[in-house]
Amino acid sequence: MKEMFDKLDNYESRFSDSVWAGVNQHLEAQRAKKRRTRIVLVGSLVLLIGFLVITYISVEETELVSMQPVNSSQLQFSEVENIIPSVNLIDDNQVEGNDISLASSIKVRETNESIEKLRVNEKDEIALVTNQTQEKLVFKDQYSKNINDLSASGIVFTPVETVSQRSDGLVESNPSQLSEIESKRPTLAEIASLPTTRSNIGKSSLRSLFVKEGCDLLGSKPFKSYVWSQLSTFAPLSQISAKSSDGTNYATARELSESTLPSVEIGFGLGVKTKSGVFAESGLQFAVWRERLSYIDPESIGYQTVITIDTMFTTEGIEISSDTTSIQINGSTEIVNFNSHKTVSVPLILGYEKRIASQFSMAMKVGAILNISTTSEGRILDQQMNVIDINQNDSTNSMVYNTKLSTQLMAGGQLVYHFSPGLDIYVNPEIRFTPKSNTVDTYSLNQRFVSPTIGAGLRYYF
Amino acid sequence: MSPFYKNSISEKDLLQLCLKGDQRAQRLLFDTFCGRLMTVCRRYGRTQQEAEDMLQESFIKIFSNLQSFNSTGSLYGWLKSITVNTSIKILQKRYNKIVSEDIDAVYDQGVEQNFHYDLHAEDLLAIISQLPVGYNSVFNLYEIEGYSHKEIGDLLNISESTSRSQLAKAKKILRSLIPKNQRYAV
Repeated sequence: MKEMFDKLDNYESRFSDSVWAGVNQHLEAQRAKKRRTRIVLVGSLVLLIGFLVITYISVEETELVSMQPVNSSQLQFSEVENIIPSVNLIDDNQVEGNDISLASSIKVRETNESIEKLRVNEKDEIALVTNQTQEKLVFKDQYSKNINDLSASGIVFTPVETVSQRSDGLVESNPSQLSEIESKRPTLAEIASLPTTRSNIGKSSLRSLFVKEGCDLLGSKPFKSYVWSQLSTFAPLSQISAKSSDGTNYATARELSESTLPSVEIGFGLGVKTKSGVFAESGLQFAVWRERLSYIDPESIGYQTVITIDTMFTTEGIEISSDTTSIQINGSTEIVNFNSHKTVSVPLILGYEKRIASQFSMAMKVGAILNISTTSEGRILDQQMNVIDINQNDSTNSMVYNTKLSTQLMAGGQLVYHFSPGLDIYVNPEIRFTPKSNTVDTYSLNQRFVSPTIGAGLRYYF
Repeated sequence: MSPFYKNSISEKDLLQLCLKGDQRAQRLLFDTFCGRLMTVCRRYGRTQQEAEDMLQESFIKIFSNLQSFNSTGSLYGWLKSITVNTSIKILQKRYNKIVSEDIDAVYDQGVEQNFHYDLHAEDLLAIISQLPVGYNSVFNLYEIEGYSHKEIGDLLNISESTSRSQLAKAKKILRSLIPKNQRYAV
């Protein structure tokens, strides 16, 4: 008998070409995954180098500005001058005012002065005119919004001629010129009727596209860089549809057997934000999409026929009976399985943030999330209503799910709390959508996802 | 001698190329062993399609785990063990518990050792495939793969006595399936 089994061991059986096709498809998916990993690594490296170079250049520029001596005589205050009567200097060399960001950002050398004028030059440097007619050069930090707010409320910008440098290095305006400007201050009634106010605001707004608002820690830098980290939870709502009418029942069966579970995602990355509030972000996100398969095999349902006999008597006392037949289900096998799809994605986000209060901003953002890797684990129904595995190494996986690069589109809002000049805390509700089915072309169904998402995260500016 | 001698490549070099993702090397490895491994799968599969599924799944696992092959052992032995394990796992998934515990264990009586069968491989495969799935697995694992009843018990999650009982029943069925003119006493 052993010789016969040995003969069997060396016997070569025939099989169809589809075996190699399936194996090769899996191998091709593995090769594609390796290629994607390489592309992502190289891309990340390039992005990182790019960020480092940009950051280095920005810091260099900033240092050039901040190291300049206080020599306002050479500065051309050609843009605006503003009057802020409600802002006063306080003892700790800070400006006291209604707006916290202004108060926390402008520092002067002397105390007990009230600010009468504020000037901004092309380099975003500020000159303050105090009640002692002295000008002090300070550097911009979160002031632009205040200027805009004031301009919107009707403050008229008045051209400034020249300033002179004092012996102590501070800047002094020409008093006669200053009084002339003071005399031109309009009344509220005049402001209301002034059409020129709007045009002045227009000029300011155009310029403020790049110097508008935010925690500008680096003076004249056109944008600021930050790292972000975010934790989200989402509900991947599956939308299954048949590619042809033949698959309608199958699509219904899959929809009925699968349900959504709360899923999680963690992400981190880098971003840049311009002074106008436009921001762009990218990074890496790791998500676990969770679903529940619950399926009762019709063949496993046990039926029991129950016959109930009712006995009755007629008025003549004759016994009659009737029987009722009913079919009861006395047992079934329910298959329950928790499926998971683990994804690695690169988000490409573009947004616009606008300050709504001294420490709060609102943002809108849109973007694409490039899914670069997917591994699946779990079970689904196949077309014959058998429960099959969809694990990454099972051939059924490559027959169902597309493991190639896929894309999600997203749109959402964001509420930002400016915890400190260098740190933002935010929450963002989003909606994500996969425009293209995540199944392979040869599979009979399309499957797309709509995922309501809520996340919370941090931004740290560097 | 290496089965790759016709292609002038050593087993070690072929495996290295496969690990690097060389498509031609992967195809060569597949072509070299697919026929024999298909025979293994046919012993476990109920149908040709099921056997092909087992073979495909086995090769996917082989290529995914090629780096874990210890080059001092037999390559075919390693490939075969992966194929057997994969086939058993597929059977377990498709038929849930492929072997039920026996209460009335019938032990191997050793009757078949008095007979010598002279069957063609195709006929033998056809007969083995007629065994119920549980008997089939135990028979293949014990008689052909050379597993002990303890190993079979661990693999199929059954007791040793059940394994012995299933084997005895499998042999009994096999004897009834083999035409009498194909066996003769020795």
